Amino acid sequence: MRACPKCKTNEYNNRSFVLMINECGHSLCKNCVDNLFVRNSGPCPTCGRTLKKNDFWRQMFDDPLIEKENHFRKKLRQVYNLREDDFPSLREYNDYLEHFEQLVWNLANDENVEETQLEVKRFASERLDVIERNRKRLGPDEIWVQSCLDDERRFRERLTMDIESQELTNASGPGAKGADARAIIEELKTSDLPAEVILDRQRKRQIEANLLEKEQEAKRKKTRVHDKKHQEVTTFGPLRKSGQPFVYHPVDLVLNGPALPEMFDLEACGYLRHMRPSTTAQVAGGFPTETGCYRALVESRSDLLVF
Amino acid sequence: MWPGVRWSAFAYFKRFYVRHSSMEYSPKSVMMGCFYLAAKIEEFNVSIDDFIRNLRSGTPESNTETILSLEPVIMLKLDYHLTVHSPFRPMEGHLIDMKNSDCCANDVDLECVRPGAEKFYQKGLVTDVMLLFPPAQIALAAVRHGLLLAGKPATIVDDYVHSKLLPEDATSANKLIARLDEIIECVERQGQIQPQETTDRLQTRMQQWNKLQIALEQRTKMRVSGPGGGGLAGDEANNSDDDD
Repeated sequence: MRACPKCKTNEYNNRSFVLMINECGHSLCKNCVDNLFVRNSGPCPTCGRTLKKNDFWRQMFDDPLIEKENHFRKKLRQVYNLREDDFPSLREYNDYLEHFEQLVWNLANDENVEETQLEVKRFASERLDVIERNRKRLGPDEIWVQSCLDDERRFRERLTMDIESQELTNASGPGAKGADARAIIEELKTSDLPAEVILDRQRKRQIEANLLEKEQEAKRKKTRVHDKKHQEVTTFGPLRKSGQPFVYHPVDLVLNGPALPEMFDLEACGYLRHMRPSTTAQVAGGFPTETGCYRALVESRSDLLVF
Repeated sequence: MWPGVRWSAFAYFKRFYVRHSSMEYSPKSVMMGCFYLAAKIEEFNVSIDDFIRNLRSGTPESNTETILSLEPVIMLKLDYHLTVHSPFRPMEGHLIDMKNSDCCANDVDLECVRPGAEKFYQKGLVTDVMLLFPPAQIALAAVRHGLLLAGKPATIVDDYVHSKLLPEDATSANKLIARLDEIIECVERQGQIQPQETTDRLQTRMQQWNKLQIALEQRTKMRVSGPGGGGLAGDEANNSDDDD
């Protein structure tokens, strides 16, 4: 997209330089389009074809051939929108796709243009019902996108519902005041205590309830602020279901052989007589004679009864 | 070189060739690599220079290169299962247990089984026992064999097995004794070193095959890069038909 062929301005001359292109493949800068097509219709300065001002679109690709092909492809896709399940076999679907490519190529490279346009019209009129149906149907990609959006929306709704229900329960606190008033009247009627005492008691209770509510509000606000601050931080600690304490289960040694004596039993059973006793250095390192003996015994008995 | 290192090396070698044919990797190089790897794993410290100094064939550089390049390949083909349980420690365990349970008369010294057991292991290296039986059973079979070679009655082992496993399980004890016989028979059968002529014959055949393979590869390369190339250079049978 270097320069406009008519006025020779380019990106560096004019800061608001926008190249437009039309169906014939010849580009013009926006100013030239406005000037030349002041009557909305006129000849293309390069090839002379009659063009309309509204048919110009902003050029995206450098190669005009690509722009042309893109344009025709989009237009034809509005008509040729059949899908794989509209065809009885995969072969026919592929043939249809190849034919579509042929049409696009014809239009983009200016070959057999009238024939192609006639064929497009004919196809449109013949398969009108299928085209209409496919226009309304969503393709598989679109269905997936729609489902993702729906999921997100439902999630957000659920969150707001939770928050609302919480606020409702808080609001029902003061709503219970009506019932309390009746209870106070009852008490005033039936009890022997002087009226001031009862009313004082009620007022005290009310004040305590208010204080409690204020504390809860403050706590909630704090947690919300805290959450907002720490939203970007992820925890790398273990994600465990809360409430279940971790219980240690020692590993089970499957021996597949005769039973082993315990480590502390070895000396009592007399195994250590047949072992070379470990030196002081080894004992200091944590390897008494029992270790070697036990190891040999484990290995001699493990998998002994595997058949 | 400890017997454990030798056993591990052979185990790697056998497991490697369960996965691949001996035409794909030269057995001599793989054996060198397995030994080097086994020495590392069993913590028998030997540097690569010391190792190749003891090798008789090939230049030091080529040997070094072969061994060091084969090492990761071998590990990969073993699925990185590098711990091999050899029967030497189980044998010690058996001897300790037998001495402790007083199953033999006072004049029989169980240490006399060791030379016989060593011969058993030597034979067992070339057989398939290490792939087929658990090491505890191989060790017990070695003890039995050692007793026989030392001229002592093998019933010592049978009594020991029964006293260890009785009163609970006589059937398992009998099964175990039958299994020991099986192992000894396997070792006896497969444990002979092949006579020199068989090995020579096999060697010449392998060399012929190797030459043929190299020649075929060269021919397919020429065909592909020659007259404009045609198809895949993989079907050797086709090419050999076409060429003559």
